[in-house]
Amino acid sequence: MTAAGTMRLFGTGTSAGEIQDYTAVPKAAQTHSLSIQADYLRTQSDLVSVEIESVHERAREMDLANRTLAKSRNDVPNLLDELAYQRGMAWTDIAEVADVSVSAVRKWRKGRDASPESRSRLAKFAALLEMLEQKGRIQDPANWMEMDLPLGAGYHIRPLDLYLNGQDVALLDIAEHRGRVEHVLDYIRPGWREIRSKFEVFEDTDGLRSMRMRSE
Amino acid sequence: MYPNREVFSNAPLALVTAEVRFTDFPRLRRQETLDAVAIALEERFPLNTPNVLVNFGDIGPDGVPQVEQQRRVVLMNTAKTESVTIAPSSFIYETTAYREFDDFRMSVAAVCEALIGANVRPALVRVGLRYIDEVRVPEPITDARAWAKWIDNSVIGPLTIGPDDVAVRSAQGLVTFDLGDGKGLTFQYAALNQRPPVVQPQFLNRQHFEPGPFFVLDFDGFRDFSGQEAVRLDTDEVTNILTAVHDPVGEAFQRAITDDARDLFRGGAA
Amino acid sequence: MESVEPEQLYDELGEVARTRPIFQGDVFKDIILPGFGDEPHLVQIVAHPCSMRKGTDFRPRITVAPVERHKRIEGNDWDGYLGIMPLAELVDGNHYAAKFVDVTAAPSELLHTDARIATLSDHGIYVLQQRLVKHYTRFDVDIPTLAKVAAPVLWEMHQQRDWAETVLDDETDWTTENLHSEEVTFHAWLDEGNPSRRLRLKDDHTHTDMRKEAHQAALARRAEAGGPA
Repeated sequence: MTAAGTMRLFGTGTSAGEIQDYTAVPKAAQTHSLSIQADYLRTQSDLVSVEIESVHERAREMDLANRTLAKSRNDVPNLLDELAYQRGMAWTDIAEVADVSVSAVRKWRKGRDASPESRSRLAKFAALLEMLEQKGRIQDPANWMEMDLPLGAGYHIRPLDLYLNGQDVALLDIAEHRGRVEHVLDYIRPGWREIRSKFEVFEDTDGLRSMRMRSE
Repeated sequence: MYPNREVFSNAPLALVTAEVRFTDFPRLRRQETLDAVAIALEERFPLNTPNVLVNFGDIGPDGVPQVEQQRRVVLMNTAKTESVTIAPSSFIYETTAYREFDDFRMSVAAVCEALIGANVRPALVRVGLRYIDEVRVPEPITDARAWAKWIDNSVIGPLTIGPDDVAVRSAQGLVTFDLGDGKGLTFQYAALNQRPPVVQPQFLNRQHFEPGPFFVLDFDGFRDFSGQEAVRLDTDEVTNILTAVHDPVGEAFQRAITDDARDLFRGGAA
Repeated sequence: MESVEPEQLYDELGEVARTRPIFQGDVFKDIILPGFGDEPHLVQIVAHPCSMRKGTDFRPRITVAPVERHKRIEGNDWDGYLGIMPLAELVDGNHYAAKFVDVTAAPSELLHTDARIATLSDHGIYVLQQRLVKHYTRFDVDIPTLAKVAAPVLWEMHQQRDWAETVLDDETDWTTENLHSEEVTFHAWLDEGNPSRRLRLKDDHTHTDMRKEAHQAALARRAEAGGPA
């Protein structure tokens, strides 16, 4: 049942500026309270899309959790090897994912123990890269993570930035092209449009990069 | 008393609210009246937040929640589990720490007395008593059909209408019963998943709950006054109505839940 | 202006690995700066990484800023104090800052890895660059743009370290001679190919692949040098 279909069924028309009486129980016929934030039963379209989203999201969360568990069976040196040498990630980014300094990561490589939290952070990221490759069909997920999203000049948001801000399965939305990138960002990072650089980077006369003001 | 009546130690009750609606009473716009009412209630509700903006949520034409803000007097108990909201054409008493109906009724009676004592005796329009349960259970709910263990079949029968081997994404319903003499009972239910709770108090503290899927049982018992003769605000009149709708509400709640749920609410493992 | 806490500012502090190439932001001790008297100074390299070297050799002089004790810069103060680069907790928990007004050219042979006491993280380097630009031109540049401009040269710097540590997996082999030798080999490797790998690096999309390639090449080199494959 499409969202539009359910709206018609319950008398909620699509918005045309007029206020339609969408409720089977009019507001006046309900006992009011300050503590009920929104009329939860009446957001029919909301409910349907939220429910669809949440079932789908839950399936992906479980998939990610299972893969993370599998990856956690590797020790930290192996996880680092996978991320750095098989995936080609930069050490700086690996350190950010693990939420430690680059020095700490170096010590792990030399045999120092990592905390269980750090290990599971690495495992989760490795699992997500695997999911992006298999489910999101991204050939080089580590590369995809460190590239700016296609948002137009002046916007510098990488999937890795979103991940470091707490997004995981939402990155699959972007990878699977569920909705345009801008719309996914509007949902997970409202206000992203406010932060736009006035510069652009270009190859200068000596072959090296320089920056200049954007021309538009 | 209704069949199976019980006071559960671990009730899923998130909120109980009583709303008494009346014809617009200008005196309630006067600060001295509001002060008098607040003073009369200061033992029970010493916290006074006048002129707060309160949100009354409603859904707009495009399905997006719209919030209407109004200035009101809100009185609260010190534990911030009960509040009284006074407006020119209604008052609302609500609690997140409901224990016994008698206590609840006495609190509503106290508010009526305070109003009457301040010479506020408008004509009644509607008296309503609403119980909202958010049933949360220790077992994981990945499909709405799993609620069958806790919610009676009479509520979630429709879940079996579709094919057996597909997921049930959502379930909701609404039934209105005519109890005669202007009284009615509106029963709403919904199986909800990853979303904020239905009861999100602006001012009150809510008892701790685990986030996750929950089943809403929403019972609204009421009396509409649309007769020829106006009935003026009267403590007994109001409390009698509350008592009269309390029984059908309680009975409906008991019918809506299974024995497993009863065990859970009693505080045992289900 | 961007602020940065000590935990995020430095890459290494105190003990700095010799394998890390000398780079913008590095802090050195015991440097006698010409024209600054006879006492040794702490200095920080402010030269842009692309201008420090000719090929793999340093230019005769490299621009540095003297580093002195300074109160800790916190909160909104990062928007002020535009003549310095704050270096909190630089030595024994004490706070310092590099003074841009006294920037001078130091003989590059004085800037030896043995005298190095701190290196900056990538983010720290961007902050330094942002402050330098502001000091010299009063112009505001954002960090993401600086990061993009610096990406290829930072890639080289990090990869060179990785190469050296892979080929010379025993720290006792990290002699100046060996490290220089590997630097030369690494850069030769970058110049190989048509288009050369160095040219391919101009496209950020190649960076993950190039890291993998570089690591493989370093492993091969280690094997041929007689170490474990």
